[in-house]
Amino acid sequence: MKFDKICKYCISEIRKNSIGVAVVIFAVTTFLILFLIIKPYFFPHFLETKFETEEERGRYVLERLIR
Amino acid sequence: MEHVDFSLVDWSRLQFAVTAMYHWIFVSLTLGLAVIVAVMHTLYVRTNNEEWKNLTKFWMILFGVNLALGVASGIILEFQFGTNWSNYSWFVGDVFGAPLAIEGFMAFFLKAAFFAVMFFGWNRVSKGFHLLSTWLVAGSACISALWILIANAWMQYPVGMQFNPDLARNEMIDFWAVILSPVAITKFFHSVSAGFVTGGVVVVGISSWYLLKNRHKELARKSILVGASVGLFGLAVVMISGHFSAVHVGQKQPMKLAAIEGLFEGQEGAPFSVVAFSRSTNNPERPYELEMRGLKIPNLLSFMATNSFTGFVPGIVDLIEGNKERGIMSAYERARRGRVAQTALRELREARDTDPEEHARLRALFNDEVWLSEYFAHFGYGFFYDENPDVFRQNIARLVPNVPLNYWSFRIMIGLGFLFIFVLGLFGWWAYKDKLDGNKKLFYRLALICIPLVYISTQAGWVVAEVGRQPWVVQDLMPTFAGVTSEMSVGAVQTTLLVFAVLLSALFVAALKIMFAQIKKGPKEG
Repeated sequence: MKFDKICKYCISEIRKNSIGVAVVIFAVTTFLILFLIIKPYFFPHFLETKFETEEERGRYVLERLIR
Repeated sequence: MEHVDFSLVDWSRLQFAVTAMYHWIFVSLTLGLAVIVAVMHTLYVRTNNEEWKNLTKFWMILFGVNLALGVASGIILEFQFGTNWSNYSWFVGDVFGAPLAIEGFMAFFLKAAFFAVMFFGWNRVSKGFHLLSTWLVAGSACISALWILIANAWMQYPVGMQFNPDLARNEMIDFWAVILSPVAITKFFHSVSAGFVTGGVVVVGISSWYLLKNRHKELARKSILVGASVGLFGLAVVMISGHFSAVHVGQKQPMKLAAIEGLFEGQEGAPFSVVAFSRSTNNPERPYELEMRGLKIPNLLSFMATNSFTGFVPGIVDLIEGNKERGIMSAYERARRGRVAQTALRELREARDTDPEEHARLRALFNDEVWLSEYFAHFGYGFFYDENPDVFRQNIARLVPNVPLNYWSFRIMIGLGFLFIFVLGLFGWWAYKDKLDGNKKLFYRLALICIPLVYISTQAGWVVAEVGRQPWVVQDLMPTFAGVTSEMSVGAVQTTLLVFAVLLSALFVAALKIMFAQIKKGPKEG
């Protein structure tokens, strides 16, 4: 209930200020682009997607260090 | 090194550098504005003067936009670790991951929790709690920087870890050695105080614009008073921490110091080069060597690096070819020892599934303090070793960072620092004496010009810190080219760089539009 009130208050304060609205829209859009598009499509975690265990990942990197 | 695709390495480095430098634009201003806003808020609470409240609200919006962009660009940096730098990310293990995780949980959540109270708490929470929230946001911005700089300092001076040869990764064995590393401490004070200088210069510059436009004169004077004070305090800390930083670089990264100074032959009572012109000596034995001619201040470099005007500062030639008299091992010998450590790692890998006794013997080497200091301490140099003497010499030349770039970046950083002392000192004094009148338009323009200059200065500082340590991504242990994900294609890195360039440019334009709108609107009067 209290959390509800805090959210409603923040939204009403943001609405009072056009630059505040712009800042919030800007921040939310940025994070959506980052986590919904950039991360999954352009930046998969190489070792985590290619290997299942820590040992496999270690073995892979080790091979790169000693070749 | 024949396996290395340097095109991939260079594109990956460029991508990281672009994102990191972009990130640093916003971080430096966020650090400074956070403290300036907190000081203004404190003055409002102490004096009950509504003008301080209006100023706090005004600068808070600029702080909010910067913070959002700083966080967003920081996230992009973290994406790159797992994709482009997977060998590096694995090799540094939890030593690098732990400070970043702590930063995420502690500082980020602290910031998020009190950010809303700071922005929307006016007349809703008590004045004391509201002020506390503002200071906690400012403090958490500094704490964020602290953990990131601890991680960065470990790359420049790796301590408190043990290498696990079975997993090919470093494991933290002494948390306190990592977080209390002298390099981390000086880096923290130097970088955060550089942020205070950025904040101070930007606030003074924007306020000068109001004075030029004959608007918000009293609010501009008040802003200049706070901005100049915070900026001058930052400059004092920058200079002190900068000296300690030079001493640490001289001890832990002597090649970086020699490159920054363009010092090729080491000497006692080494002079500081103010300006110099360089040309190649065309010496085939030393393809890295340059002749530096210019203005020098006697003995100053020795004092900067050793705290003694007669102290010995090694040059690039000493570090590459060795100097027995000074106990400096040559890079060639370090490469041979590094190769011994790499061979032991290869043999351990081969013995793991076939020869348990040999595996145990080799495993014990990686726990032997003497062997670690004599061989593993040079592990990264092993990548530069080659049986062919000509190739070996060419490889060793890669251990010298870009001298002209580091040399000039350092001088730009320091030279602009002196300009900021002058500008902030002058404006602070005029604001204090209430002498910011209409006859100082030339100076107001100078303050405005200082806004881009302060970014050039902080970016030059980043270049000195990060380009100066090349070719290392982890000092002496992992060269940058060994840290990249070798399976990545150059095309993929170019594509993501292009995506970033478009996204970051769009974000930058959007942020500038919001900030310019806020500046044009100005603080509320009365």
